[in-house]
Amino acid sequence: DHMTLLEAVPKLISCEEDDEFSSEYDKIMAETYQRTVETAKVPQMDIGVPVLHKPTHKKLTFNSMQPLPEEAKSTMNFTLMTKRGNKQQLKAFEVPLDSSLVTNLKNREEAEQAE
Amino acid sequence: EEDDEEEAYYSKDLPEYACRYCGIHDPAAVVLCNSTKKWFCNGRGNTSGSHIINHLVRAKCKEVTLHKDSPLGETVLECYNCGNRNVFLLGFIPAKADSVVVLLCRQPCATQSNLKDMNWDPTQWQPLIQDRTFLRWLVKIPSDEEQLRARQISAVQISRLEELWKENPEASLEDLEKPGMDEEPASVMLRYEDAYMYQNIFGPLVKMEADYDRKLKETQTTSKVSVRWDVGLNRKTRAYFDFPKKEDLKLMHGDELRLRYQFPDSREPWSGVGHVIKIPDNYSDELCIELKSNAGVPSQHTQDFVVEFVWKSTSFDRMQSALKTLAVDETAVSSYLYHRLLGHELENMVLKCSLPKRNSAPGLPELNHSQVSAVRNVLSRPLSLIQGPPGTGKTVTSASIVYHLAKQNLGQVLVCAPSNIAVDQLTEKIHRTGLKVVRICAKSREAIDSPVGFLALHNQIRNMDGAEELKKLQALKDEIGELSSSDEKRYRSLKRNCERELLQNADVICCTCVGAGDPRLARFRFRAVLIDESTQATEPECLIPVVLGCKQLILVGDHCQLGPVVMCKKAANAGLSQSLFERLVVLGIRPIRLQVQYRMHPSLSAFPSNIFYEGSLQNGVTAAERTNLALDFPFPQADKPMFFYATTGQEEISSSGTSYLNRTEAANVEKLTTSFLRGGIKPEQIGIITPYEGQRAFIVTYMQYSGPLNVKLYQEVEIASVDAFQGREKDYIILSCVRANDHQGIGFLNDPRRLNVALTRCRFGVIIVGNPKVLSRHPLWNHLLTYYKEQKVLVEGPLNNLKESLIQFSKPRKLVN
Ligand SMILES: [Zn+2]
Ligand SMILES: [Zn+2]
Ligand SMILES: [Zn+2]
Repeated sequence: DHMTLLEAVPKLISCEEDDEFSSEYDKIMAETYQRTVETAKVPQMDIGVPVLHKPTHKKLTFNSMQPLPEEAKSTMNFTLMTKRGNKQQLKAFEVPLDSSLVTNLKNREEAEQAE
Repeated sequence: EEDDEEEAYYSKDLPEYACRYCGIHDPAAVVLCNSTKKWFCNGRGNTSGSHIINHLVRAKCKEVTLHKDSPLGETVLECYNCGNRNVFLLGFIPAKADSVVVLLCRQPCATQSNLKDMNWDPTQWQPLIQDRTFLRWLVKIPSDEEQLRARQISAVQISRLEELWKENPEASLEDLEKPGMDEEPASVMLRYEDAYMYQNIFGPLVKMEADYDRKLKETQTTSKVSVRWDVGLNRKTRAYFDFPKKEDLKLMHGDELRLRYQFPDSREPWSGVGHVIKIPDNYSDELCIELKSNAGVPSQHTQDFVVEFVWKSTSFDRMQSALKTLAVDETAVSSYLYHRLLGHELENMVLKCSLPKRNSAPGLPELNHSQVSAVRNVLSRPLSLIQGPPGTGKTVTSASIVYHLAKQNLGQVLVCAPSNIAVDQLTEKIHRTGLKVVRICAKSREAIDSPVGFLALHNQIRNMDGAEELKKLQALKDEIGELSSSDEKRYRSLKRNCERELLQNADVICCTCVGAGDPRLARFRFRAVLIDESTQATEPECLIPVVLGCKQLILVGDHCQLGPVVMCKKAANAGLSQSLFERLVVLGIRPIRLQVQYRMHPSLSAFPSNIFYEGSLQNGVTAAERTNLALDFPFPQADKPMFFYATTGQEEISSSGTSYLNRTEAANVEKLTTSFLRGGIKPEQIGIITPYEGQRAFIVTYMQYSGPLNVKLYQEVEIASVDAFQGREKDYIILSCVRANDHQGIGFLNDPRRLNVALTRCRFGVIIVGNPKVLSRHPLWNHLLTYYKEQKVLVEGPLNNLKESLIQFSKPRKLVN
C-alpha cells in the first residue's frame, strides 16, 4: 500500500493526440520565433529599474559566508513590474531560494563583486 | 471510499475559474484565456504540456490574465514596452543587481540597445512558457496530489472537447459522453447500387468538409492590421498587409478577404472585399488583395483595420450538384461509364476510333514506347487510367492524347486538373500542338498572372475580332470603373455572347475540376474528358467535369504520390481522401503505367523505383547526363550524388523556444546550401523540403541571419512542404526531416506517398538530413536507411570530413495502416 502511495505522481500517457499537441506547440514556437525576427519597428522607451521602497536583500543574503539563521525564509521576494493602462505597478512575489531566478541574481552579484 | 471523495471533489459546483479540463481551482494555479473567457490550470495531468498551454495551442489563443486572488493579482500578461500580449513571445528580464523583473517581448523590446544603460540585463531574457508550462513563479503548478485528486482528463478527451467547443463554447466534458456526439459518418464503399446511394454517402462527407472549412476560415478574423495602399495597372486599389500565416489554413490566390475600418469619428464604417493576389513568400510575409471596388476606400488611413475571410461555398456546391446530376440526369454520363463508376461488373467495351499514323503530336516531343502504348490504348477505350510516376512525361502524354481526341472530330474535349498550376501546364502543352484552346479561370483569379494568360477566356475576349461595341464598353468600364445600369446590362449580354462564341469555337477547353461547374459551361456537353493529377482530387470533385455528358474518360495521376487534401479528419477517415482513380484501381482496372523516367540520376531513382513501383521504372537519362562535373561538393561516393546526413542528439527546448534538434537541423541545412552555392549552384536550382510550416519559417530565418553568403542568395532558394513540391522538380533537393523526439511519430513522413514525392523531386542530387535513430523505427525509413548504409552514403561529421555513420538503427515498429 505504501509503495503505491509513493508512486502516485501524474504520469504522461503518450497518445496520438498528445503528439499532435506537441508538434502544434513546436510549430507555434517556430513561427513566433520567425515573426519576432522580422518585426523590429517598436519605438524605444525608457524602462528604468524602479527604486524600491523596501531595502533590497542583495549582498546581505548571499555574500556573507555565515549560515542563514534558522527562521530564515526558504523563499525570496521579487518584484514584477507591470503596467495598468499607463500606470506602473509593482507586484511582489516569492520564489524559492533554489530557483534559477535567485541563483542568477546571485551569480550576477558575484560577478559584479569580482570586478 | 476514495472514489466517493474524488466524486465529491468535482460534483459540487465548481467556481467559474476552475480549470475547464480538470476542475482544479486554486486561484494561484489558474489562468484566464482572454479570447475564450475560459480558465485553465498550469498542471500537466497526464499530458505533455500544462492544461492552459494545451488549450492555447489547440484553440489557437494567445492572450491570458492571472487571477485576482493569485499572488500577483489580476494581471494581463503583456510586454511592458510595446503591449504585445502573445504569451508565446513574452519573456522576462531581471534587473542587473536587483530583485526586479519586467515582462518584455523577445523581439524587438528585449533586445533594445539602451536596456543595459537602464540597469537591466537583456542577456538574461527567458520565455514565460518553458517546457510547455508557465513559469511557476508566474502561475503555480498544482501539486502532484492536487493533480491526482482532480478530474483525470486525457489528451484524447482534451482534443475532442476543444473540437466540441468550436461548435458549442459552453459544452462540458460530460457532453462528450452524450449519444450522437461521436456518430461517425457512413464510410465510402467500393461499389454502389446506384447513384442515389453514391450521393447519400458522399453528400454528407462533402458537407462535413465544407462546414469544417467554413469554421476554420471564420475564426481567422484579425484586428489591428496595418495596411499599405497601392493602385494596380488596372486602376484597382490594392491593399498590402501582414497576415499571420497559419499552418492549417491554405491561403490561396483568389481567396476573398474583407477589410473593415471604423473611422475615429462617427462616420459609417467602411468595408471592402478583395481577392488575394499575393501570398507570403521568402521575401515578405505581406499579403495583397485587390479590392473589387474603389468606392470610398479610406486610403488616407493605414492603421487599425480588421481583416476577415469571406467564405465561399462555390466549390462544395458544385460537388453536391455533380453528385445530384449523376443521380437524376440520365444524360450525365454514358450508361457504360455510369456502371463502371459505381463499380458494377461489365464487359469491356471498345470505342470506334481512327488510330493516328503518327503517335506524337505536332509541337511536342516524340513519345517513348510506354507513352505511345498509353496513347493508342486510351483512344479506343471508354475509361482509362494512366499512371505517371515522377518524371515520366505525364503532361506531354496527356497533351498528345488530347490532340488525338480532338482530331477524332467528335466534339470538344474538356481537360481538367484539381490545381490551377497543373491546368496551366497542360494548357500550354496543348496550345503548342496548334489546337484552339480556351482556358477558363475563376472570376476571382482573373487578376493573377499566368504563363498562359493569353489563352484565358477573359483575355481572349478583349482581343476578339469584330466585337467593337463590347470593346468600347469595356474601355469605358476600365476608364471610369462603373457603367450606367443600361450600359452595364448591354455590356453583360454582349460579353455573354462573345464568351459563348469563343467557347463554342474552341477545340479544347481547360479549367480546374471545380471550374468545370462554371455557369458559363452549363449548356456545354463534353463527350471526352481528361483529368490530369486526378489522384489529387476527391471523388465528388472529379465528378464535376464528368457529369457534363462524358462518354470517354481518361484519368491521369499516380496513386503512389500524394492524394487529395481533406481538412476534416472525420470526413478523411470516412474515405473522402481516397481518389476515384484509387477506387477504380482497387476495383481491378489496371492503370497504364508510364515507365521511363527522365528526371533523376539513375542512382536516385533506384530506391523509389524498387519501393513504390515494383522496380519497373527505367531510366531515360544516363548518369553522365545528370552529373555536374563542375560542382565541387563532398558527396561521399563520387558516382552517387546522394547521402543521408545523420543528426543526433536529444531534443531540448532552448531559451528561444525552439528545439535544439530543429536548430541543429537548420544549421546543417544552411551549411549544405552554402556549400552548394559556393560550388557554383544557383539558388533556383536548390529546393529545401521541410515537414511543416513552422520548420520552413525557422529555416528561412536561420539561413538569412546565420548564412555567411549574401541574404539575397538564400532568399531565392525555395523552401516548402512536400505538398508544395508535388508535380515539380529541382536540380538539388535537401530534405530536412528531423523534428521528432523520442515519444513522437515522424509526422508528415509517416505517409509513404509523401516520402515518395519527397525523394523524387531531384534531378542531380539529394541529401536527407535527419536522425537515423528516430527515423529507423518506421519500417519504410528503416528500409531507406539500410539502403543508404549499403551504398555507403549514410554519413556524419563535419561537411569537409564526412565519415560513414556506425549508428545502430532502432527496431522498426509494426506498420500501422
Ligand atoms: Zn487543469
Ligand atoms: Zn482560448
Ligand atoms: Zn514588446
